[in-house]
Amino acid sequence: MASTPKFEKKYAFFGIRPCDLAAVRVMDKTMLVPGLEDSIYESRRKNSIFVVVNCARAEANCFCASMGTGPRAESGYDLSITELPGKLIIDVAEGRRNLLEGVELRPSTEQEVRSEDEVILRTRRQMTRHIDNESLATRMYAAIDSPSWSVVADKCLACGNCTMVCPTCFCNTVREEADLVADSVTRVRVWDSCMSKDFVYSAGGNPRLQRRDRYRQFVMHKFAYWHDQFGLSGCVGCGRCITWCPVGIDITATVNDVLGESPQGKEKMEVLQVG
Amino acid sequence: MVSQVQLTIAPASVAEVAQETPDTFTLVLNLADGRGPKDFVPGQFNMLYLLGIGEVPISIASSPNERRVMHTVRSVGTVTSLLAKLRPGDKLGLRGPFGKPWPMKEAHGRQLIVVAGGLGLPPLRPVILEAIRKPESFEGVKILYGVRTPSDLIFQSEFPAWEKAKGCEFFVTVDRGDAKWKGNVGVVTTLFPGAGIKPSQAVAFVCGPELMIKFVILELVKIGVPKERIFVSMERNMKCGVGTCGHCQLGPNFICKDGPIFAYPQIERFFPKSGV
Repeated sequence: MASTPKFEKKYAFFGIRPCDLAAVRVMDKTMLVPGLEDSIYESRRKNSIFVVVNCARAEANCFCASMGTGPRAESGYDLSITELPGKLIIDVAEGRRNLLEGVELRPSTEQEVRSEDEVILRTRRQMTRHIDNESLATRMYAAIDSPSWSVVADKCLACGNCTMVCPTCFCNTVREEADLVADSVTRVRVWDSCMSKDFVYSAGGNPRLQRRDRYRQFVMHKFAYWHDQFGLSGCVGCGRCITWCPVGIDITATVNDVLGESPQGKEKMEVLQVG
Repeated sequence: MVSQVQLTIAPASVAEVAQETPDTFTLVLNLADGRGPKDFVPGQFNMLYLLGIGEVPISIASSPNERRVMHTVRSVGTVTSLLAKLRPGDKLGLRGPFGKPWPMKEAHGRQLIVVAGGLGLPPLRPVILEAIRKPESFEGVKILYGVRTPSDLIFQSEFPAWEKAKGCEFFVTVDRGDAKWKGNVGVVTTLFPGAGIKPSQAVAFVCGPELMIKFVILELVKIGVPKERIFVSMERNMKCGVGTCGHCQLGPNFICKDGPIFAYPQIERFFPKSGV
C-alpha cells in the first residue's frame, strides 16, 4: 500500500555559496524533525557533499554579513574554496582529504591567509543592505502591529516569487494524483506558498485575507517564528527574494521599516572595527 | 511524540450516519485496526480521507466511553461535500489522532464553563459527556451554546439529558429566532449574566468561529475569569497534522501539534489580532 521512493544517487554541490550552505543547515532543521525525518531529503542529504566557494564579491542584493552566514562559510562544508588572484585557498573538512586526491597542494602562507581575510572583509564592505540581527526575533515580535506592514504590502502582488526562490521555504501540501484506469492514487508532496490566498483557507474562513497579512506572515516567519520553531533564523541573507520581486520589495528595507530602524551606521562600524 | 497512526491512513467504514441539520451530519465509524473512541482524547482531531479527493481535519465528537468514533461534519468544501454522501458500509480513511486534548484536570474541583458556537459544539461534546458522567469532579457545569438560527442546532436529541444531568445547566441562544422559537435570542455572550458563572472558580472551554471566540474571551476576562483558566480550540487549515507542512501556523505555533487547544495566554499575543 504505502511506499516512499528512495534516492541513493550521489550528489556533489560544487561551487555553492556560503548563504546556500547555510540554507542547507536550515533545511536540516525543517526536513529532519526528530521522528518526522523526510526520508527522501534524508537519503539525498546523506549522499551529498558540499564544495563551497567563499564570496570574493558581493552582489547588489546580498546581506549574508547581517545574517551571519557569509561571505565566508565557517562550517558544514566538505571543502571550502577562496579565490585569490592566480590561486585557490582550500580548507578541507576533517576526514575529507580524499576529495583532493591527485591535486597538487601546499600549505598556505601567512601572507596568503591574510589576503584571504582581506578578500572576505572587502566583500563584507561591499554589501549595501543591512539588518541588525541582534535579538531580531524579539524585536520583530514587538513590531507585529507596525503600520509599515501595510505600506510595503500595498506594493506586494502576492505573486509568490519570494517564496519560490527562498532557499528555506518549506511549506508544502499533498496532491492526490489519481490513476484514471487503475483504482490507485499517488499522494505527492508539493511545495506550497503562504502568499497564495488558499494557503490558510478553511471552513471557518480565511484568516489572512489581506495581502498585508500574507506578506507579514512570510517575513515574520523568517525572522521571528522560525526561531521559536526551529531554533534559528529562517533567513540566510541570500537576497534572492529581492532580486525576483517584480515590484522591487526589499526584505531588508521591510524589516528596517517595521522596526523603525536604520542599521546602516551600526553595521559599517562593526565592519570597520573588524578591519 | 509522533506515532505511526499519524503518518499512515488507516481504513475505516461508516457504521451510521445521522443528519443533524440540512448541511451537517455525524459519521459514526468503525476502524479496521480495531481502535475505538478510547484511543481518541476529547479535543484532538483526525484527518478524514477520501481516496483521490483529499483529507480534512475534523474534531473528535465521540466520548472515550462510547462504542464508536464519531465525527460531526458540515458540508462546505470538496472533501466534506463528498463525505456527506457516505452511507453505512462506505469506506474512508482516517489518520490521527492529532493535537493536544482539553485539559480536563484543570477543571476538576472547579466550575466548568463550556462555551460553544455553531460547529464548535462537536469537540466539546465529549467534554460535556465526561462532566455528566463524573459530576462529583466539578463544582457545577454550565453549557452555553449559541447558533445562528434554530435550524442550526445539532445533537438536539441529547439536550434533555444534558439539561437533566446532576450539577449541569444547559443554555441555548440563537442569533435570529423563528416563529416557533421561544428561547433566548442574541449572541452567546448574552447568556453569561444569567448563567450563574462564578469567575473566581471558573474554568472555561471555548470553541467556535474565531469572531465568537474573540468576544467570548473579552467577556470572560471582563467578568473576572483568569486568562490562564480560559482554554480555546483554534481552527486553521491543518494538513499534515504534525507540524511539517506550515499551513496551520498562528504566530510560532503549529495549531495541529501545539494546539488545537490552547490556554489563552499562549496565543494572546497573536489572537484576537487580525490577519496573523
